Amino acid sequence: MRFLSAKLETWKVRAHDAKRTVRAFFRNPLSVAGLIIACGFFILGFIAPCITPYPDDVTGSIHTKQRLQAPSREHLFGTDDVGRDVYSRVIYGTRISLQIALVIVGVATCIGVPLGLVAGSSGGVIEEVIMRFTDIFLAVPGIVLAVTIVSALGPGIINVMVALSIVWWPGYVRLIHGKSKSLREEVFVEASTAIGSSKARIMFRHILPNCFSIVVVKMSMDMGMAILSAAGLGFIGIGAQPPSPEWGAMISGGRWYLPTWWWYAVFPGLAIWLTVLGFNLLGDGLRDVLDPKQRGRY
Amino acid sequence: MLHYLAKRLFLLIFTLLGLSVVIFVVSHIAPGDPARLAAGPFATQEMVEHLKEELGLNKSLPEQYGIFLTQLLKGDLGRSIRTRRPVREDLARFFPATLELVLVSLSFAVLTGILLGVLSAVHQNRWIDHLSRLISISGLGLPAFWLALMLQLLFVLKLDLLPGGGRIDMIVHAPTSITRLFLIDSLLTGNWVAFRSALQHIILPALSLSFPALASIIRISRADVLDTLRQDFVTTARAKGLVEKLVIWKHVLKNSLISTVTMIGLRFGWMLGGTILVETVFDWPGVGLYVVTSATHSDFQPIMGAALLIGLSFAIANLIVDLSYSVLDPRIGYE
Amino acid sequence: MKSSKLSLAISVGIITVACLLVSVVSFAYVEQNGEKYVVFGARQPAPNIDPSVHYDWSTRMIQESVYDALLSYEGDPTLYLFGETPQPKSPLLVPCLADSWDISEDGLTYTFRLVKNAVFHNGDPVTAEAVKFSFVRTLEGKQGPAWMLLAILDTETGIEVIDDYTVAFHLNYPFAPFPHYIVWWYIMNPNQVNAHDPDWLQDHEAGSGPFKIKEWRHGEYYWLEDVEDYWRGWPHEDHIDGFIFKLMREAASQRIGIQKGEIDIAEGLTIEDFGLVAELPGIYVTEDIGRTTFGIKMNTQKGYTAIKNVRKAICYAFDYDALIDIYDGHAILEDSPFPQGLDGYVSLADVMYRQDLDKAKEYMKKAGFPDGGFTLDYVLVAGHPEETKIGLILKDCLSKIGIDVQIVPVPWPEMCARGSTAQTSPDMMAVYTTPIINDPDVVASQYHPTSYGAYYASHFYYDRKVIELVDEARLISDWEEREKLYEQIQRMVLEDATEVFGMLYSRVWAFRDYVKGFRFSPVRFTSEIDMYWLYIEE
Repeated sequence: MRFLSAKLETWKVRAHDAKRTVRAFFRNPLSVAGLIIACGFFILGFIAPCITPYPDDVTGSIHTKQRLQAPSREHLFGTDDVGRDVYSRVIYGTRISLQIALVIVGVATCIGVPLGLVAGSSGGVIEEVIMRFTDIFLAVPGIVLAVTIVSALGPGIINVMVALSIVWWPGYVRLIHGKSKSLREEVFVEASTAIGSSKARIMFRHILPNCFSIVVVKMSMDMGMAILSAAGLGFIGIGAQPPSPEWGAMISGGRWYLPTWWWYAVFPGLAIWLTVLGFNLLGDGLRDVLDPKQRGRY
Repeated sequence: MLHYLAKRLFLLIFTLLGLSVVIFVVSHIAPGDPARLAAGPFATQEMVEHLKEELGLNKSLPEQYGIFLTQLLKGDLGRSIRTRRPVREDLARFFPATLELVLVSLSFAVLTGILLGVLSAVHQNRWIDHLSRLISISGLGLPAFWLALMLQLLFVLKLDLLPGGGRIDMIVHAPTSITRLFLIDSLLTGNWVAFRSALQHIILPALSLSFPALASIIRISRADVLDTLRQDFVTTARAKGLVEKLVIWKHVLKNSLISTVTMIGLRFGWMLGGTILVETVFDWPGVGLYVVTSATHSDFQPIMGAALLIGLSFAIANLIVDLSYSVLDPRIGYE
Repeated sequence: MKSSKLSLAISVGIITVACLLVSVVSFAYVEQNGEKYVVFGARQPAPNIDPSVHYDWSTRMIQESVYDALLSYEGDPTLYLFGETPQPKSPLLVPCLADSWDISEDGLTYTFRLVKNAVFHNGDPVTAEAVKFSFVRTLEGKQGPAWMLLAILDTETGIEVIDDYTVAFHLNYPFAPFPHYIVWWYIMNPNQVNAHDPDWLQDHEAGSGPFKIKEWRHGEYYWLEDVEDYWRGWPHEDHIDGFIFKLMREAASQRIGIQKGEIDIAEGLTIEDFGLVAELPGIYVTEDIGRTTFGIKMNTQKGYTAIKNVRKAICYAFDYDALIDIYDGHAILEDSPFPQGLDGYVSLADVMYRQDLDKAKEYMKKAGFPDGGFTLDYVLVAGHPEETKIGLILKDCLSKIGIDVQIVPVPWPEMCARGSTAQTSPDMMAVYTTPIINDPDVVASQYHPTSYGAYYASHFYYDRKVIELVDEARLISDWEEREKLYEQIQRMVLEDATEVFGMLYSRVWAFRDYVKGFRFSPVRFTSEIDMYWLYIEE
C-alpha cells in the first residue's frame, strides 16, 4: 500500500513536470510557430489530393501548349516547362518530403539508438568496435557520402532514402553513446549496478528512458535536415526523378528558366525553407524545455 | 600532449582507411560498365575489353582494392575513367578553390556571427538584436543552393552588380601562385586588380555557403553572452570599475569564443559538403563541382579521391580546433 | 549613443565595401595588346584534348582549333543536297593537310599527298612520318576515335610511308566511307609527343592548326591565340586573334553574359532564352537544323515491344507535335529513319507515323491487347532535361492506349550497359544520335548485327533482308545504285517501327553582332563551332 502511494506520488510529480514543460514550450512564440508549421506540413501531406487543383499534373499529365505561364488565378504559382501547375506540385511535394524525412529519421533512429546504447553501456571492445565503425561514417560530411552512394545505386527517391539513412545513423550512435556514458556515472545507475541489476535492465530501465528527450529533440531537428539533404540531392540531379514533384528536383528544373520564368524555381524553394524552418524551430523549442543544458548547441 | 597527437593520428589513418573501403565497396556495387563509359559510346567490344584489362577491372574486388591502396600509398589516386585525367592532378587544381571558398565563408560566418551575437546580446531588444535574430531564425531552414540561386537572381541577373560565376575575371590574370588562394596571393603580391576581382567573385558563393553557419553562430554567441553577462565574475569586474566595454569584449568574448570554436570543426565539414551544392550554381572551379560532375557520370575514381581528401581536411580541421582549445582555455588538458 | 555610433560605423562600412565591389564591366571582345579575343561561353569543359583519347563537342572544338587532319569537312552539305543533282560526298570533303588523294581499283589502298608548306607550331614540317605516327598512336591506344578504323586498318601494315610527303593506307577490306572518317583523326608532332610523358597531351597540343594554346586553366577557361603565319592562311584579314573558351555551366549565366557582352558567343541558353536575346540590340542568333536525331528505340527482341503491332501502336499514339513544343518550335520532325540532309535520305512523309489514336487502338487490338494493361520502361540519361520532358509526353500519350510508362533515369554508363544485350535492353530508350560523317552507312549500320552492343542499336532489330542490303551498300561504289538500296532500307525499317522516330532539333548560337563569319556544318557535334572562319567587324 505504501509502495503504491509512493508510486502515485512519483506519477504526480511527473505529471506536474510535464505540465510545466508544456507550459514552458508554449510560452515561446517561436516554438509555437514551429509546431504550427510542422503540423500544417503533416496535415497538408495527408490532404494534398483534396486541395490540389490539378492532381493529374503531379502524376504525369502534361500540357505542352501552356508552358511557363506566369502565376494567375488558374495557376497560383504559374506553370512549369511542360505546362504543369506548379502550385499543385508544390503542395504534393509535401508528401514526398514527409515520406523521405520520416523514413530517414526513423531508420537512423532504429539503427543508431540501439548501437549507441550498447556501445555506451557495455564499454570495452564492443564499444571500441562500434564507435570506430561509426567514426568512419562521420569522417566525411554526410552529403559527400550520400552523393557517392546515390551515384552508385542510381538516381531515384528510394535510393536517396537508402543513402541518407546510411549517412544519418552515426549521429544517433554518437549522441546516445555520449549520453549513456555520462548516465552510467550517475548515482542512480551506480546504485542499481550495486544492488546487482542486470546490464539489460540498466540499459532499458535507467539509461534508455533518460535518452528519450534528447532523441526527440534530435529527431525533430533532423526531420528538417533530412528534407534539406534530399532536396539537395534532387537539386544536383541525382535525387528524386520525374514526374515526382520533389522540391529539390523542381528547383533543379526551374533554375534554367531564371530570371524570366522565376516562379518555377522560387516557389519550391520557399516551400523547403518554410518546412525546414518549422522543424528547426520546433526542435529548438523542444530542446529548450526538455534538454535545457544543450541550449544553443547543435 | 605528444601521446595524444599520436593517438589522434593513428585513429585518423584508421578512419580514412575504413572510409576508403566503404567508398570502394559502394562504388563497385554500381551497375553499368565503367570500361564502356571510358571507351566512349561508339567503342567496339575489343576496345572495351582492352580498357578493362588496362584499368584492372577484370580482377577480383579485393585485388582491385589492393591495387588501389598501394597506389594510394604512393600518392596516386588513379584516373578519372571518363576523362582519363589523373585524379590527383585534378584535385590539386580544384582543392585550393574550394579551400579558399570554405575559409572565407567560415571566417565571415564566425566574425560576423560573433559580432552580431555579442551586439544583439548587449543591446538586447534593440534593432540590432532584432536584425540578428531575424537572420538567425531565417537562416535555419534556408537551402544553401536555393539561396545561391536567389542571390544570383538578385545581384547578378537583376541588379547586375556582381559577376555571375567563376573565380576571377578572365582578363585579370590570376595572381602569382604562392598559396594558391587567390585572395591571399593577390594581397601578398600587391596585385590589387586581381584582389578586387577575386573578392567580387567570392562574395556570393561565400555568402550562400556561410548563411546557415552564420545563423547558428549568432544564436550560440548571443546565448553565451547572455549567460556570461549574468555570471559572477562579470558582475565582479563591473564592480571593480572596469570600463564596461572592456568587460564585455575581454571576458565575454573570450568565453563565447570557446564555445564557437568547438563548432568550427563541424562547420568546416558541413561547408566542405555544402560546396557540392553551391559551387555548381556559381561555376566555382572547386572540388564540389568536380564531385557533382563525376557523380552524374558514375565516374567513381574522382569521387573516391575527393572524399578521401575531404575526409582528411575535415580531420585536420578538427585536430586544429581541438588543439586550439588549450590555447583559448588553459584549463582543458589532454589525456 | 554607443550603439548608434556602432551601427553607423557598420552601415558606412557596408556601403564602402559595396561601392568598392560594384563595377559594371561591360566590354566587347577581350582586347589585349591590340589583339582581339572572342569569348565563347560553354557549358561543357574539355578535360582531355589528347586526340587519341577523347572526343566530344567541347573537346573537339579545341582539337579542331589546334590540330589539322588530312581532310576536312566544309560548309553545309545540306545545301548541296537540296541544290541541283545530289552529289554523294565530294562537295564537302575538302583538302587540308593532304591536297589530293587516290583510291586504288580494288578500293583497298588510299594514297594521300601532303601539302609541303604545313608546319607544326614548333616549326617542324608535317610529314608522312607524323601522319603514320598519329594514326598508329590512336589505333594502339584503342580509345577515342579508334573505333572508327580499328577493324579496317592494321597497326603494323595498314599505314605506309612512301616518301616524306606521301602516305598510303592499306585497308583490310574495301570501305567506302574511309575518307570521311579520317577528318576526325588529327595529326600530332611525333617529336613533341615523344619528348613528354603521355599525360602531357591532355592539357597541351602538338598540332599544326590555326590556333595554339595561350593559357590553360582547366575547369575555368581555355585561352587560345592564333598562329599568325598559319600555313593555310586566314580566310579574312580581320580574323580573330584567338578565343577564350569560357566555362559557364548555367544557362542563366550564359544569357546574362551575352547580354552584357562578357561573352561574344553563347551556346547553352534555353531555347526560350535564345528567343529573348534575339530581340536585343547588338545580338544575333543563328539557327540551323542539325543532324542529331532523337528517337525512342524499342527492344524488338524481348517483351511486349517485340510485338510489331505494339510498336506500331506506340508510334501512332505518340504526340509528335509536343516534341516541337518542348523545343519551342525550333525543331523539325523526322520523316524517315535517316535524318534530313544525310546522303541517301528519302522523305517518307506519306507513310510516316503521326499521332492517330484510333489507329493506335486498332493496332493494340491486332496485337491482342485492346485495353493495354501492361507497363513499359522508358530509360533515359538521368538529369537530361529534354529526355525527361519527352518521357513525360510519352507517359501521357501511352496512358491513352492503356500502357503505363515507367520513367527510369539511369546514369549514362548504365544505359549503355543495359542497351548492350537484347536481354537487358530496355523496352524503350531515349537516344540522341549524331552521325559524325556524311555517309548513310553511319546510320544504316545500326540495323546490322555488328552494331549490337552499342547504345544506338539497342533495338536489336534483326531482319535478314535489311542486313543484306546494308552489307551490299557498303561495297558498291556507284552512288545511284547505293542510293536505291538505302531507300529500301529506310522503307523497311519504318514499316517495322523499330523506334518512335522523333525529331531533329535546331542548333542555335547567339553572337554579338561584331562577330562575323560563322559557318554552320551539321556534321559537327551539337554546340561545336569552327573558330577559324570568324572575324571581327566593327
